[in-house]
Amino acid sequence: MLKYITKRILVTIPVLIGVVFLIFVMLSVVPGDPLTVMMGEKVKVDVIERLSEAMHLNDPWYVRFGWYLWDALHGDLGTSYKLMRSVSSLIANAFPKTLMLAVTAAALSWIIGIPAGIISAIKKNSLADHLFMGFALCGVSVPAFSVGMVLQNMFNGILPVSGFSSPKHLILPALVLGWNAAGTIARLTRSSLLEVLEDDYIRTARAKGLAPVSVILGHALKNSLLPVITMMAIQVSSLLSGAVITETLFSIPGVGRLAVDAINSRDMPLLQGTVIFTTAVIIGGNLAADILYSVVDPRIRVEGGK
Amino acid sequence: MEEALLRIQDLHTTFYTRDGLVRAVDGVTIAINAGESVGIVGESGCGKSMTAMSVMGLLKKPGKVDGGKIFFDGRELTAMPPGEKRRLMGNKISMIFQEPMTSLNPVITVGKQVREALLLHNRHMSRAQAKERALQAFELVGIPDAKKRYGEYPHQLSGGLRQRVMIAMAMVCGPGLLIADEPTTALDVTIEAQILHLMKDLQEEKGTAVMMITHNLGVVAQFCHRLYVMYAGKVMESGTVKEIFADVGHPYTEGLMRSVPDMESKERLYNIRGMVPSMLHLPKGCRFCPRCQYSMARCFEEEPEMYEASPGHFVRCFLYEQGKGEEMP
Amino acid sequence: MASFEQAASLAARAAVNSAKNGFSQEQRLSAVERIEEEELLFLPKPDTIGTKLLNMCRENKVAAFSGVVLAVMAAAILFADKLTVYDPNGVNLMERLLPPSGAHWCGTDELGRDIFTRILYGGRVSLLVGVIPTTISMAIGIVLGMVSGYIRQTEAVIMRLADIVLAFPSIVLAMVVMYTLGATTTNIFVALSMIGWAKTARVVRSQTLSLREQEFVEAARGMGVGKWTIMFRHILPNCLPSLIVLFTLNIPDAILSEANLSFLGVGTQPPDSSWGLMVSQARTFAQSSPWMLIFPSLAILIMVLALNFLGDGLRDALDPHGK
Repeated sequence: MLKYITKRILVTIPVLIGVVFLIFVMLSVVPGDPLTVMMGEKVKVDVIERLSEAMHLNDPWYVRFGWYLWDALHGDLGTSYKLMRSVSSLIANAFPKTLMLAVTAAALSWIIGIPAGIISAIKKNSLADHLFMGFALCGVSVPAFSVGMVLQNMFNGILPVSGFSSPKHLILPALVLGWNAAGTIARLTRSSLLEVLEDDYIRTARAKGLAPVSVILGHALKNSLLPVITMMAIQVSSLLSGAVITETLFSIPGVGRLAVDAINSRDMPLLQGTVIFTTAVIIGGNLAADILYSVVDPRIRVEGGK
Repeated sequence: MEEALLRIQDLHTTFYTRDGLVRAVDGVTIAINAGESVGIVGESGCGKSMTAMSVMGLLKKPGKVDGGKIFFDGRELTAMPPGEKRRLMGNKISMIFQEPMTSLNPVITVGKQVREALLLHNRHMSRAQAKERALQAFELVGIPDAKKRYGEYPHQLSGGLRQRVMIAMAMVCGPGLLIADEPTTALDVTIEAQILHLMKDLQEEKGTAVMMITHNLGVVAQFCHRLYVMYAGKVMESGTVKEIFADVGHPYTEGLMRSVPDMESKERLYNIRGMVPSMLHLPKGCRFCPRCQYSMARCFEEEPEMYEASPGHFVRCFLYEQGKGEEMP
Repeated sequence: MASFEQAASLAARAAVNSAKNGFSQEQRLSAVERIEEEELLFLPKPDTIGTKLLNMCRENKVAAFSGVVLAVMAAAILFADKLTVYDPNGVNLMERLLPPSGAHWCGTDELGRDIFTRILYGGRVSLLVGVIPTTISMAIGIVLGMVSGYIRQTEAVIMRLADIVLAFPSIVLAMVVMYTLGATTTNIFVALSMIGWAKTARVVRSQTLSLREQEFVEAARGMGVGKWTIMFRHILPNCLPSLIVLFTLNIPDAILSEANLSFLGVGTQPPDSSWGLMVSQARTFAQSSPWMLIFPSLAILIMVLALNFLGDGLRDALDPHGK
């Protein structure tokens, strides 16, 4: 088990370095001198010289990459050109908002998605099944900002439609994010439960004389939720990135919004920092999902333990 | 004649598939007396498993029992409300399956799975008592180190051990009838012998009737008192094992027996020509006749009934219609 | 299934005839044996993809209907100029923000342009964004997936690269690529292709891994068939069902990605138009002129929904075990 987790963690390290590398290279290609972006056209030459030296701008790109990686490991993602503040502190400031939004949306999607998926599977091809699945499919078929704009107009004056100053501000964005997530969860729960219900041990449980409800609750559900649990962990992280759209639409000062602002103001270190941070969080989420799965599933848990 | 423990009367089980009706079980009549072990033999797809599933009410969609009656202990299972029937399942009638590898729930310890049956059918039993009984059952079916095994998950057990767990689960409530659906097919030959021994011991010791479904005549010869041979959804021959092995009746049974390898014979192993017919498109007349080496013109037109070849030995073949004066080959 | 019936009834008839004509046992046997040889010819063939699709249309009405909806939408988008009298970019300040009416079925926008017309023309971008990057990314993914599954030495590099691409949230990566390359429609194709290949590569690789162990591949290898021929002649056709499904389900993803990019300002640029851009342009006017928001949103919803239904149906019909 411990070996499995260690191995799993070690595998993510090259991926993480690759992520940083890819972003670094892509953004180095963008034309434009960062110092000009930072301070405008009229700066003294010696100032530029000194700053270039301090920011390793004169070094070849691989040296700069080395420096960037080194600094990133120490929690320093550089300084925002436009905001003149450390990227790390900007992210540290914004992340809690994004996290709060993502977790609320995730919780919402589980509360709705899992029961809907279970009911759909048990009552396969019933009216409820068709309704739930239609609703779920709509959730994954409509752009989040369309839904968000419709909701903003419907609830204008009833609920806050922009900003982030009270829990009430969370309701609409969490609904927008959560609908999509609930659709995914409901569909996965349904297909997983339907698959498990075909398994041989379900027949054994029925042969024991268990009532259909006990068969589903006692025997089918735990097995069918294994993939759902993985999906849930992955989803928290994917909601973090989905928040790019929602945060922009609802003017929530989270990490996603920071990234969009960085693009609009061509603030390279900020964009680089937010993208790398978000991706790192997602990699961490997937890692957590894998570890969680190995804890929940005795087949992996016990074998690893030996 | 005394009332049989299990009496299946003219059972019809049909699968309503896209391509048409599949009559998996087509008018099967079987009786099993208390304490008796009866073999149901046939090639795969002949409806022997479906007969068992119909008794247990475990048919998967689109399968349905649409004719005939099943009596257990004098009560009609086919007319029972589901709740009442469930009180018999796993309690008075239990079943073990072919696939020990997949028939146990992978995320629940084997002990709990056995205990569950006890708690379900014994309202007043405490968890501790149930565990005690389950452990006894583990020891009864010869699981070594029962206490340790009790808390393990199915994947930690070998195939033979898992099938022992299945047997423990089936026997733990002391059923009157055990339906065993190819219980040893998926196991190694040595393990197969052990499991059969175990089942025979249990059967004799507890007086449990066993319905042994198998394609292996060797298993039947070892284990059963009486035998039903099924082909394409119908019983072709029935009688005591002794009688049938001594004087085989139906050409199909003969084919089955000649297909069993014989160490002393130098002859090439016999196989029955052709395949089991598609259940969607059964031939007219006797369903075995296209493969039968004795088939007569009549076999292609009419369906034979069960004729009594000798007392208690019935054969569904015109060759045994002595009373009606047909010619013999 | 019909083959068994044929074989059986043939056997039956022949045997009856021979029996009636008083043939000897031996002769009868040979008759039956002859028929058995013919029976081999009647062995049920596995359903072809075409048959499976027909079955799906017969059984899964939703999927079939989705197919029809898609065909109608595609036709309307292709023949947009025949269906409307307006110019998609024809500014008419006299007719600003008009609600839906007989003249303007979906109303007009802030510059007096007919929204129905713009949906038809904007659909071209959405449709192209759906099909072109999906095709390119799948072509890349298929080749890389097969190569990494079949030629072991390449696996580490290709799959690590796929891991890295898949580690990114796709919208964020697309955003960065668009930022790097500049926001044009062509670059949307490039960005989505660069991102989309990794998923296909994973699917194709895992299928290649299991197919390469199968007898028919080993037989081909034993006969000295070259590895590229094996990959494209033997392995690729067997991946086809899941690739068809993947293709159908990747298109809506691409359409939604374009919509999201346009909303963030790094996608389609005015005066070009796509459905996603139309929705995001409606933002300021959504309160007073909701038709500007509703109709393009509905266009996206209907097309993506239909593709998803069709993809689900195809998966059930062609690739029941792929998830």
